[in-house]
Amino acid sequence: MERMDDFEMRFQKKYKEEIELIKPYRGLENRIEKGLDRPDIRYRWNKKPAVVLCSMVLLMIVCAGLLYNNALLKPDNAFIIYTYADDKRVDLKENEEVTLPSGKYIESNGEREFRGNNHFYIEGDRIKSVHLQSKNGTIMYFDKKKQEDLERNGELYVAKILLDPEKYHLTFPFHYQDFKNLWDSGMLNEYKEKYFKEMSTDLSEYEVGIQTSANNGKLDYAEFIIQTKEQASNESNLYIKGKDVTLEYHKGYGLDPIWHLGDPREKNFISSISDLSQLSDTITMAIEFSDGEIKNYQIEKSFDDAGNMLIEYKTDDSE
Amino acid sequence: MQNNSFREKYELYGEMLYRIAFLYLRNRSDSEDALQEVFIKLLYNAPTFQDQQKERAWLIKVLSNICRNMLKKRKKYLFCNEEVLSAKVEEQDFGETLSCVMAVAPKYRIVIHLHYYMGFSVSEISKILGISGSAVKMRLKRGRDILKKKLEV
Repeated sequence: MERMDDFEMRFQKKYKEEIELIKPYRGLENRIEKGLDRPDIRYRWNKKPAVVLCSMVLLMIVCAGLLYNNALLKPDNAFIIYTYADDKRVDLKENEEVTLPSGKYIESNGEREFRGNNHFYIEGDRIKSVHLQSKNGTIMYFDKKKQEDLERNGELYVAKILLDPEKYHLTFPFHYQDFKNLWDSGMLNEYKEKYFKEMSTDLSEYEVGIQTSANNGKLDYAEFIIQTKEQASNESNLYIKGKDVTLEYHKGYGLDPIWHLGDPREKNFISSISDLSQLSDTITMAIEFSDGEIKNYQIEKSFDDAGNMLIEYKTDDSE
Repeated sequence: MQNNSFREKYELYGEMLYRIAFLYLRNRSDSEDALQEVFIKLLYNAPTFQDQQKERAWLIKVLSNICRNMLKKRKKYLFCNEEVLSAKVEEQDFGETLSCVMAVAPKYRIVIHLHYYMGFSVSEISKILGISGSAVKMRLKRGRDILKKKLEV
């Protein structure tokens, strides 16, 4: 303590005398001691957070229960629409224009290339069907569910054969005649026995689909699909295309139709950004839900001055 | 802490703590409640102390917080009902010096008490009250000046 002056010394002496007269009453310790043994006091500090925690958990359970009941009582006809620009998923929001980051035509090595995905995806657990009507173009859709059903029932092809290009000395480019030669040579007899059994093995009676790819001019993938005429016809029915289409919704498959106008990938179809306006479209969309509710929307597809694709789906109150 | 231990602690610190509570709260009933609160904390929430000095400092610190919280609550209540504060402050027949100390603001009172009565240094008060050393010095100086004026008139 620093050295005190006279005032401080006098003050300290007097203060000490007077403050020491302030004392708790006799027996206060008994009152306090009694209080210390009370269980509510003993545990109250520990209890407080526990009580708060329990209350919060209880509240959450109640809320979850209410939400669950609500979901059971009132079906939520919710759905989402999204698309992709390169590999980036872009969610579309109702009445909100979205610019696809790279949904544009670009000039690259003299070739015009569309960067962006023409598919748009519709998903919703309670969707029954979606009716789409394109004003300026067409809608295309490949029915994956039907494809799986046909494939499972043997109604899509007789044989799907994947060959090792090296083993069979296949070279690029690979044409139907090359495959026919291979077939007639007897090198593929194991497949004839496996898939054709009592059926004719005359290739001319079938449709042959060839899928190949090459790396540096060398064939590295070769798959062949052999179909009867009827199976080929079934396959062509998997593609739904038109200005006015109704797409059946299957849970787990979603819907990914393509908005399509002419063939934008055709060379010279687009000669400048201003030509992109030809690809603008208005698609009327009516989503029917399993409870019979129908929600109507309009999807506007346009392009800005930089060539970015703009998408907006709006609530359609016209009906 | 067993009850026997409580008795020991009460013998050791009871009066000292009661005075501090009284300096803050200026009435017996609230001071008793504050004292009970600090012993509850000592019993159920206290850390292990290396020595008695540290235990004493911890008790004063905790009691100061309890008293400050009680004063805050009292201020809130006062906002609703002005009569409450005057009812809470007991008019006692203090000596002249203590009366002057009780008349200054609590923040000066407690610093003066800890320094001149309990003998704590500026740095020790700083640690106990959780304020800077310069704030302690300032409060001591201002409190002293106020008291000087009052007592030397």
